[in-house]
Amino acid sequence: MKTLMTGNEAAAMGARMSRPQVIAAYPITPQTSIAEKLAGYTARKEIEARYIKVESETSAMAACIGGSLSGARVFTATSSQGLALMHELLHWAAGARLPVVLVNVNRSMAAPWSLGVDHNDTLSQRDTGCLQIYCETAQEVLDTVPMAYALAEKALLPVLICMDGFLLSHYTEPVDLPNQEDVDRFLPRRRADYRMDPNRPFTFGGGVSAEVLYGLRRRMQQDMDAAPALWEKINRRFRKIFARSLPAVETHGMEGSDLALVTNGTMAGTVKAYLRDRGAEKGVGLVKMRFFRPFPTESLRKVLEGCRAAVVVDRDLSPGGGGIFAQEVRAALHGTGPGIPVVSVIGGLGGVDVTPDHLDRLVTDLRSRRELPFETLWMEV
Amino acid sequence: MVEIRISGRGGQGAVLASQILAAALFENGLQVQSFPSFGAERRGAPVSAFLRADPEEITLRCGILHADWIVLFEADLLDNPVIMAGATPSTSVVLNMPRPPEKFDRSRFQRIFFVDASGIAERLRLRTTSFSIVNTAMVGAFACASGLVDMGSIARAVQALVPVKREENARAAEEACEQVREMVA
Repeated sequence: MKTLMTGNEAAAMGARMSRPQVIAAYPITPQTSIAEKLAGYTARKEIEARYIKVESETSAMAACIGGSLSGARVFTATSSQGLALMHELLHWAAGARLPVVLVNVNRSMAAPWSLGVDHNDTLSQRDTGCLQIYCETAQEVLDTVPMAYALAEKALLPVLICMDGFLLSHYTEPVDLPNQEDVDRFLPRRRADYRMDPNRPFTFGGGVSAEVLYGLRRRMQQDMDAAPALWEKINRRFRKIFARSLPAVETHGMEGSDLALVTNGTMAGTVKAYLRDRGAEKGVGLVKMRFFRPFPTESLRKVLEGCRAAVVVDRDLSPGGGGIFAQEVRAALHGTGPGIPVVSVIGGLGGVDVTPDHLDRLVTDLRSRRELPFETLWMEV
Repeated sequence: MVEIRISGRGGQGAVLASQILAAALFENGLQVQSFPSFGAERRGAPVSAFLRADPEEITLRCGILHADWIVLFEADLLDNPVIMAGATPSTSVVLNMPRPPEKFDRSRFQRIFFVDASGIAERLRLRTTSFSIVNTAMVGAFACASGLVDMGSIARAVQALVPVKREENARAAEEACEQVREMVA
């Protein structure tokens, strides 16, 4: 059934349909309506979850860790400073191999205070061991939540689902609402092999020797490496039931194009609108990256093969480094065949508008240059 | 694609108006996208809500600069440079005012409509202690001025989305639809 909902409503609905047993969240703009919706569902007993009220995001993640250790399916949602406050415990959740699913509504980090979107909040969590999936539409958000549980509970790693503040969280748009029975068929209850149980005691997260820690980190990398194949399998199963899929990397209009605009989140939607009007005449296509961790190196190499250049538009900034996606794309393409130059462009920080006209000026500028720039370009405001 | 901007003052229900219109246009088979202006909005300050409608899927994710239609809950917002930024001579406007303005540069807009939405809201007792709630009347006026959406869909969207006084709000939309007039040269 097609209905209208906001990105935040879609996130709450995706969580509701995944039947979490523990929900712990602390409200923060622009995530608040997710926490409100889920609190309402549990208060009205529409879902069987326990909603744990907490006094901070640190406590929210701690409650999720406790719930997950006990074998429960757990959910939380946050944004910017809230995610930063969880940072220490994100390492913990990943290290303890807990399948926590977290929706982060992307928002700039202070200072100065801003409510607009950029991705520095989630990208700052790059090395925690959490997977990161970026969404473009409310439909993707809704679909990604049950798929993220399927992935997290198989890979035994937390998943951060990232969605743009306001540009997605507060846009009302059509969403195809799945049947609960179909979601149940796709995502059965979680079965934890090891869980905190007084009748069958284990120690979780206790002190270990250096050798054991080293081995566990190596296992983590191996399981991250295996995640893309796992995601493909989950996608095939999801497509059979819902006739939709969300590959780690997606392309639009790349046939006959020698220039690829590489981006993620809602920016990909604006690129699509630009391509629909002017893509063919400009020889430009879109490479939309859903996954950031694990970094989808293989898929990316495949879709960019033969391109004259990859133009990475980052809605983030590593000060002193440049665009974060651009750096990672450069690293992923290094050593492939004749080499594909990567142009790094920063745009949309703090939620500043990026329109099809901005994209057109960027492409026209690049086409007019004799040599592609190595320095970071800034999209005009 | 049609792009619409609905502007009023914080608390007058511009966001709900854009959601009612979105639901009605969606029922008519169009793809829609509706969103509020972002930031720390305040009661009484000028605020806007936005709406896109198109037969095709809408993938754009950015603000609306050059709206095809601007709906103003208070006609004095015509002089507000922030609210009117991006208006062009191809923009049409729907204004809440009892009669057409006497001195008005007709060439500023493509088409100009006016309706006494405040009068309709007052008669139906749609008000707070400080101002009248004109959002449903303005939705009805827009529907009939633009011809983009039928009143049956508007009535159903009002019933589904308005939290209080559903009958009165549906009446307000209906009356404004009948009373809205175009300013002629």
